[in-house]
Amino acid sequence: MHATVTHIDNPGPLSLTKSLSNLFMGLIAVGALAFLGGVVAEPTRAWQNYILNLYMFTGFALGGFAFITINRAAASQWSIIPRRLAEAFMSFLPVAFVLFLVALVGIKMSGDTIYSWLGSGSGVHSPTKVAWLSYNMMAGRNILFFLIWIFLARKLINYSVVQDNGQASDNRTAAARFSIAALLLFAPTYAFFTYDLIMSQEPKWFSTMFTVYTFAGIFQSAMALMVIVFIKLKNNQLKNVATQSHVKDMSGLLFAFTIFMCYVAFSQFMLIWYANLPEETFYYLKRSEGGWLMIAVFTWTLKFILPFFGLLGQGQKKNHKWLMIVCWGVLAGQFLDLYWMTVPSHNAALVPISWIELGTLAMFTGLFGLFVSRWMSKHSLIPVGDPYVLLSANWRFWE
Amino acid sequence: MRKVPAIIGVYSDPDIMMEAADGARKKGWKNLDAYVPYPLHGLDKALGLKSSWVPWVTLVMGLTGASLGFTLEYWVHVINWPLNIGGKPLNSWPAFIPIVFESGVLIGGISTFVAMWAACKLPNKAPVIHDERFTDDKFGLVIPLDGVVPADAEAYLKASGAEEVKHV
Repeated sequence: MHATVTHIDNPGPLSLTKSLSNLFMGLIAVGALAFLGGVVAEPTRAWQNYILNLYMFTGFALGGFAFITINRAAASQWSIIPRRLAEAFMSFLPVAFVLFLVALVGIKMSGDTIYSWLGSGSGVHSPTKVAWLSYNMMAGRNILFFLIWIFLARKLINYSVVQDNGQASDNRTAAARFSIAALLLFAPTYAFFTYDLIMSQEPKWFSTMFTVYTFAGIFQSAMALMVIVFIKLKNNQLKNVATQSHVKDMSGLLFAFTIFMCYVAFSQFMLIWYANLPEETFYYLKRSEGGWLMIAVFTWTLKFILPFFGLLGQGQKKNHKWLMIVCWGVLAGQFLDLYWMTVPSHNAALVPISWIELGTLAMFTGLFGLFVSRWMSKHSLIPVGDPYVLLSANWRFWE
Repeated sequence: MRKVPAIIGVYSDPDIMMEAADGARKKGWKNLDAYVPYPLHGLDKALGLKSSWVPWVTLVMGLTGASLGFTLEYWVHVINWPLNIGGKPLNSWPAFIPIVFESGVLIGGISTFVAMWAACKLPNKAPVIHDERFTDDKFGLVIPLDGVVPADAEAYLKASGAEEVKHV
């Protein structure tokens, strides 16, 4: 039994410790050095990693976006307290946009080494793709996608933040309607963003299931990161409002998307394997030879076996120490998965992960951590002004 | 049904009954039970019920079903009737996966159904109905008189807000 919460003290914004922000700064400094060293030493490899990380960390922001819009559209009440965390992730989008503009410079610099279609058209086997896969067209549409996402994100954050000062007008209906429209806009923009950034590194290959799979991946990894941060907050500033049921439900979503991700990945693989058409199978052949199979095995252990059997039981979804292991495993799996999708395009043999990979990852981790925690230190940690916040604080279905 | 005599408190408010169940469990009274007209969230915790063993049946039988499905396909395609289909290897595991999944779901589902009947001790030909109102708008808290002084239990139920107290 539990006492019903009748009043919520505003936990205030995140009290960002100096050591944490120094840690992020340090990661950025060390990572940027490693990345710049990489640009000098092996530019193609460095920029490929840059794009990979850009995609992964934009994915966290877009995962937060999906979490908010889905829950807003469904008018869910349990999600109100963790929602602010997803909004913090989403606030990374403008930074991601700037990082994308840097990536455009890198793509220009690296010629046709990452995107073979940037060369004299030799990489593209279909003449209809020449117009679509050109530098200006790619840059233009993706800048447009980022601007759309930033607009949607600002509006969604605004729906929530505007209530924080206590003027609790109920804007749930407006927010739900906006979220439905936002989801409809998100689906195609996200799909083409993924086709351009990830799939076109292998421009002769095509799979319409590809973005469904990558979406399951970014949502899964965003949920894993949310669970990690939420547990940290629950042990500190959110002690009185965050419940075990929030943790359990978020890890439930992580579990659901683990299954969905595996289902989509397998249906993509099996159809290509079964049809056995050379223009499709080469993608998997490249990625199972020269040591790449090892990465795939690691990926699937971390991204499917671990979270599936690790989160199957109810008790496992409430054990914080165990959840940390599973969630960090999923995040590592997400990185390896993207590595496996992109790097074999240009490397027949396994490229071991070394200082360029780790450095670029550190730089992006630092940037994401710094900007998201800064945002959190400027806004209340939960949507205190939401008229239904008490309902969410009393969400104790699973205790 | 239970062999030991029991005492039932009848409540008309589920929250008050849950509080009473919580208090009775904290007193150390064992094997508490309740009759309620609809599912009450948190009642299992208040009564001190342990997790059900049924999910374990689902897990074990689901995995068994999946491996049985794979064994069947392997036996058919590799051992008993090897056929070259489209030049694929005999043990074409990717093509087997859908069947493996389906047989896992089938065996797991049927086993769960059977286990659920066993867990609920069904079919029960002579159900004991202590009070018909428990199927309508009243909530009954059962305290087995197993090392519990009847007068204590009765006093406790009355004090906790029971409308009436019945011996069964």
